[in-house]
Amino acid sequence: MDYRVNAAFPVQAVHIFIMIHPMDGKPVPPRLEFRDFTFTYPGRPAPSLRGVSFPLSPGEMAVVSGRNGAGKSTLALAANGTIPHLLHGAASGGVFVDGEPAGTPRELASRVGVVFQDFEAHLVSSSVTLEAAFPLENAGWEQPRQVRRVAELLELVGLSGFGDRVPSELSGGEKQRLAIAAAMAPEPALLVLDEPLTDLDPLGKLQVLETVGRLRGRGVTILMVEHDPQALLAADTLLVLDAGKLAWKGKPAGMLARPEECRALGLPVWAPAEVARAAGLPEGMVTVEEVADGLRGRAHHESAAAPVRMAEAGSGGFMVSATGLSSGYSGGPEVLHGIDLTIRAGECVALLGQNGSGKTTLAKHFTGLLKPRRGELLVRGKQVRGYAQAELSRLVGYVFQNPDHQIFSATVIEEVSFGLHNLGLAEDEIAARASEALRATGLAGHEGEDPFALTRGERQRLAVASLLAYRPEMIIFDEPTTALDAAEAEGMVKFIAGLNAAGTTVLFITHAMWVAAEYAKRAVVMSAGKIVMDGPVGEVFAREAELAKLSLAPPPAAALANRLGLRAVSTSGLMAGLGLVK
Amino acid sequence: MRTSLFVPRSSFLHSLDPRTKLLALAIACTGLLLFDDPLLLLWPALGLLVASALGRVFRRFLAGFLVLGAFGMLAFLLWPLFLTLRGQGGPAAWIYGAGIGMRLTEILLAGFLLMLTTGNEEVLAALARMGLPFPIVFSFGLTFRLLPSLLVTAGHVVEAQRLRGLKFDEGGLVTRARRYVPLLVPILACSLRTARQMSWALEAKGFGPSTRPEEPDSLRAGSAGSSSGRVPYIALRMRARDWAVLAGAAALLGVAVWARFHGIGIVAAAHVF
Repeated sequence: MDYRVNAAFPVQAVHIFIMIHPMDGKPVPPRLEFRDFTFTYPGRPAPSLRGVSFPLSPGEMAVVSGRNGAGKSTLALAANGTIPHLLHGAASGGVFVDGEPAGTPRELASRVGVVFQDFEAHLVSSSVTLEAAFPLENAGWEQPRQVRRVAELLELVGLSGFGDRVPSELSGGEKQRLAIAAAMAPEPALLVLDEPLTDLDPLGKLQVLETVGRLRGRGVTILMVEHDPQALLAADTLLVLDAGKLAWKGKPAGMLARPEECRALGLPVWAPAEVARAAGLPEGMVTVEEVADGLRGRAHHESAAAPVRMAEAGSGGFMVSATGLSSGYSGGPEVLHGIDLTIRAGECVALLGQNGSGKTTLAKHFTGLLKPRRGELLVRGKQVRGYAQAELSRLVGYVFQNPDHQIFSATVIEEVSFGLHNLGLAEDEIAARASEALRATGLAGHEGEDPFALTRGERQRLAVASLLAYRPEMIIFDEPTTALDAAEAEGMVKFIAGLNAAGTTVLFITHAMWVAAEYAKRAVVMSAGKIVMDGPVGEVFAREAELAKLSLAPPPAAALANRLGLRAVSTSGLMAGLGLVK
Repeated sequence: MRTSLFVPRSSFLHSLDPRTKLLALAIACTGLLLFDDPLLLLWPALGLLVASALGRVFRRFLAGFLVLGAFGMLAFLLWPLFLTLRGQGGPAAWIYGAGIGMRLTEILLAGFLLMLTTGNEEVLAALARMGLPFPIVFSFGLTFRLLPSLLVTAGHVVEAQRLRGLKFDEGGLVTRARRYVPLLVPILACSLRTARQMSWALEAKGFGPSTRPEEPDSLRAGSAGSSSGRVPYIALRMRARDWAVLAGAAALLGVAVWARFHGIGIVAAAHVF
């Protein structure tokens, strides 16, 4: 096998140790094993998985990571037989569960629990209790046993007391944990999770990871597709896929400690490791605490003040200005309470907070999708009520979280031109603006392609291009990095930073704190419909205790800086503060 | 967002077997259809109020009355109008209209009360037990479950396209129909994606349209009509209170039929038809 880094060795030794039963010396088969597994989707020229082999010992937790399109979801689908039994294609090699060839998903229902990427698609019942009981009903468990098991499951995932709630009314994190409860209902020994943290707010992520930790504590074997560094660090084993091949396997810390390898394989770069490497710390130091211990006393306090990036006031006048804004959705309760917020032309602002804190609701007011109930909202100095929708759309653009909610055309160029036709522009003006927007988003050359055949990252850029063609003065990005891999996410935020540098006012709503830290100048934190913090990113992330009360945490680089008494939020700022400029 | 009216509570009505409630509803509707005298129809109205209190859903029931009462009001206004046009106007027509309006409202409210106190799955379990094949009953229930997520998706799509200048209310019929393409394509594409993952998720949870592979013999008598070997979480059990409710309902229906044949509770049937 093609292990690029030899850090896999100790883990393999552990595998061999575990696989020999301590009492009678008979080998225990791996809980899950891929043996030279290759799979090609119908109509695709190249296989999505190529000769993948790895065992997963009972009780082991493995995280599968890599670029989008590297084959991660295909691997998850093959672990319970969805591939090749429901999703057909050319398969060779084998997948084994407890030493036996994997059967159909229904045959494996009580042995392999699965939560696919879209956890909404898992929820089929009208109450939390019945959702968790559904697999038990199908498996024919005696009714009293079902009742006991459901109580146990809800306790396990932290949803006790939620039994009568309607699943569609739960928060994202609660839905994800409910989907996990249902997957775990018939007591499978193996749980497969496909990107369980995507789309969740920081609190939701934390609770899902805690749930996974509890399952591990009970000896459940876990295979999780994920690229969140928090999840990677929690695993025993990291499997990295690259173009369908298993490119690396070993202890997660072994990979995270190598920033260049991470970049090469499309994994997020772990800021503390980058700093540790630049500082010449021993390789074993990976977590924020370990690196902080290693670096203590090395901070150049005289330069500590330098790297702080002050909020730039913006060059022009007020772009948007809200005073005492209170509002909510029609017919619903008040969601925003007395918001005072001013964004100047040319600013780059990150809007942070848990789901339900009012971020999206507030941002929708700037585009005219919602109207204030009380208070005042000015866009470019004029009451927002005074604008026609088309007029406001030319000033303020909104990039929604999911590009698939707006893409409908047969070709890329038609998709970008759609809004321009609605503006009633002349054909040559439309053509000029569309090609300009496609060039800016790196989609030039894709004009005639089918938008549905693009990757998620490209579809995201297409949605941005459709908006750029309007040439708005301000753009709001709602979770611009969701569902993108590390390289795509970095490309997207660099693009946003470029727009800002060229004069566009930018507001982005995000749960990814590193995005705010690396690219925003000002951070606004919302909680329960109010603005609770507003200031330069460095100042906001330095208030770690206050953030923790809102279940928010600064990104690793800022957390490390805080522990070293430095004021820095980005990796480069931290390096400068430590006198380690690359 | 929810599409179910069910209010989870513990109450006398909630504790009844869903089959009892379905049968009692059928009996109540039959009984109500026998009468059109507004004065007599006050009694079932009182009965429904008491029943809603027994179900601990009194306030929601009253809220529903305001909505469903509108249908009754419409009947109350339209019937006298219709009768007047036929040359049968006068006070009797108004009394008849009031009776028909009350009857309609009461039938709707009885159904509403059932929905307030009975969960989707309970109704489905009752239908499956009454002999409908479970996969069919389940698909039916799933349609209601999928509505909220479909509406959420549709909401996102409408917002996104509105900001791109899509106007829904201009132009002729053909132009308007064409304007729905930017809405329908994304909604359909997203729904199909969800539906595909849902079918995988259902298989992974051991649910399928055919017999489960582990139990090839399970289409034996006893489990006929339902998915083989499937044991519903909701335990359907007819208890003494169920039989008592059914017996009471049957007795009331008997009295109602007797009264109808003795001309009680009828004000206008002969006059109208």
